[in-house]
Amino acid sequence: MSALRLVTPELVEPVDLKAGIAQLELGGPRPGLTVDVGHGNLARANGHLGQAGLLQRLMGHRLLLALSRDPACEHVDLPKRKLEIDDEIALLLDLARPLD
Amino acid sequence: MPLKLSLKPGETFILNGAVVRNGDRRGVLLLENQARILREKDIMQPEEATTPARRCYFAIMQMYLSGEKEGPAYDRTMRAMADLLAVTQLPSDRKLLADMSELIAAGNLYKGLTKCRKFVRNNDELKLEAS
Repeated sequence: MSALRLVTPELVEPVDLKAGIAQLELGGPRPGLTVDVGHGNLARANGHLGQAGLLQRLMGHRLLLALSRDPACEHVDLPKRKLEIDDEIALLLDLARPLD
Repeated sequence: MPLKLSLKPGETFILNGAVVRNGDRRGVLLLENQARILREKDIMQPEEATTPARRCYFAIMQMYLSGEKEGPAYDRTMRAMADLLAVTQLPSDRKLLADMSELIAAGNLYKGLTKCRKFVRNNDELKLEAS
């Protein structure tokens, strides 16, 4: 019977950020890989990009954590970026403007 | 348990990519299941994204409205968060940004947006006091 048991995310023990990234970078991570990104917040490959999307999120989070702990990254003057807006979102926001 | 929305006349909200506007009377709506919903008071227009904190909120809001938790939308949010970190000196605020990143990495965009909204309000108040 155990061979027929489905692997669901709930049955998979979460791994930490470092182990999650390592598994994804090596390829062939465990089915239902669940990563505890901190304070019990769990990340899974359940987005439209699958495992590549999960790896993107984990690496982005790792980078941000490193920046947040780096005293050199305080009060840095950065060039101002242009605000990026998707066309679909721009349309939604325009339609949602309050009526005068 | 359904979410109860009390709407003012003419008030809008965005529900799963649709803009819905209330008629000319007060109204109450019950949302029976989970959906991506954002009320008018929480919608930020592009011209309101005037500070690093507000630009960060705007980026997360775009992710939430589109339902995309990775890809270009995620990169955009990470750039906005890195820009915000670069001008954030208080350790407690830097910790808050790290917490926000956890929520976004886990795909919990609504909670991430709520946390960022508090950050924006505190930031705006500090700027008002300083001026």
